[in-house]
Amino acid sequence: MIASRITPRVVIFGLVAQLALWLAMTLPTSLGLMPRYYLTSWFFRTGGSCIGFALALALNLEVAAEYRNTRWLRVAWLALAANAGISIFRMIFEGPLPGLVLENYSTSPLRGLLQHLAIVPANLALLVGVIAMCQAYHQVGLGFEIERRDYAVMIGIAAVLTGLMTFREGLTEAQSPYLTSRYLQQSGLVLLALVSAVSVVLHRMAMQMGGGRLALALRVLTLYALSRSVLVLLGAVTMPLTGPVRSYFLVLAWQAVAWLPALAAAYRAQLTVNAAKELARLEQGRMAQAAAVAS
Amino acid sequence: MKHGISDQDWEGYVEDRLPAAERDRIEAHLIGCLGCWEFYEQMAATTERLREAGAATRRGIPLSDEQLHAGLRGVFERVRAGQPGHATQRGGRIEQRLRYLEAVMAPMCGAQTAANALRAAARGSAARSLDEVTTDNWEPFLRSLTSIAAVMCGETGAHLVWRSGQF
Repeated sequence: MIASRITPRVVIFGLVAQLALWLAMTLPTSLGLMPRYYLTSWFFRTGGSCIGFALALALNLEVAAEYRNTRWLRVAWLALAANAGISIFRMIFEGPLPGLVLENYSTSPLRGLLQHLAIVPANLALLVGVIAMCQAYHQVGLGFEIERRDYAVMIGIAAVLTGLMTFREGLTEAQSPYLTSRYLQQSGLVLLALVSAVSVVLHRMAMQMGGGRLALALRVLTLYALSRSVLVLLGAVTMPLTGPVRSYFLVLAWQAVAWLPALAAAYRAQLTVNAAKELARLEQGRMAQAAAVAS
Repeated sequence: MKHGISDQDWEGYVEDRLPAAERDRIEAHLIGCLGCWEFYEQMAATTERLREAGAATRRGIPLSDEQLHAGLRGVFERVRAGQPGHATQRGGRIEQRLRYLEAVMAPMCGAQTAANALRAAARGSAARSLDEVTTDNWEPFLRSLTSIAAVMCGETGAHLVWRSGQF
């Protein structure tokens, strides 16, 4: 099992290591202490995020295999795996790699188009994942309930989305010559807002569980959905600001977000690993007990 | 009582709980009585085997802090609910196993979910309520709980619940 090696601790270590190394590579440049290794730091940033999503893909597939007879949850974890898989392409399109083949790629509107061609299906997969998960936990009939304040948060998210669409000049693709890019970015945002709204329900369910590994996984998943919405919003609202603090914060935050699906999947997968260990210990104890009684 | 040694005396002697004078009396008798010596050896060997089996079982069912917490919470819930003597009515064995199942599920899907799952499983089985779960309707109850665990904890977690619930 991959999950027995890729524990939440390993994922957190990967996240912290990526942020620390990226800072170590970039901060001295900003302070004028060393020359700018722009491409290297970009490759590093893309590579790290791709590793994060690749781990999420592998772990999600492993978790999905745990639900051979539970249709909704199988769909949910496979959809999350699809989100992670497509996000790898998104990272590649965002990074400098296509620039090795395509001239002026980093400044070309093609970059935005390719990026959003990946973001929309990735967000759709994430939406399918969180809806299927909510449906599965609701169906089991353990009394998970949505509270009034959850509806208030959902309305708040809808209001923020409306605002973002109204002032869409703040969006990165607002001026793209490709009409498809503009529509894709807006579709991606609608999907992201829907994901955030549904993840509020998921978070409420996690709160009502009273602890446990599953609740941790659901909370991290909620954090993933909400933090992406918040970062898109922050990016759009603070676009006129060009200071280094904004850049550093956004770049670091987006890098951290890339590891959250892997962390959520690692928490969920650890549930299985621990259960398998407990099961083995139980069987061993019973065998020892039977042997002692027989002798 | 044989040769002036009662069952309680033997038990106390094997468990090393007798006063010194009583212990000396039995030991003095054992020197000269082969029958009692063989009886003592059998008893001591059986006690030792039971001790080893108990230790193996404890090793097989280690309780984490979360499991202990869930178990204690269940006890307090029952105290608060005011159900005196209920455990003895349907047997402490069932009560104990229910608490154990709750403790097994709590670290996976949360203490509240575990408690709700037990209630839902009872409702969905022949028992109809958790208070009515007995050894007679235990198996359908356990099946119902396992199917809930399959959703909340996955197949491995459900298998753990199934095996933990078997007597």
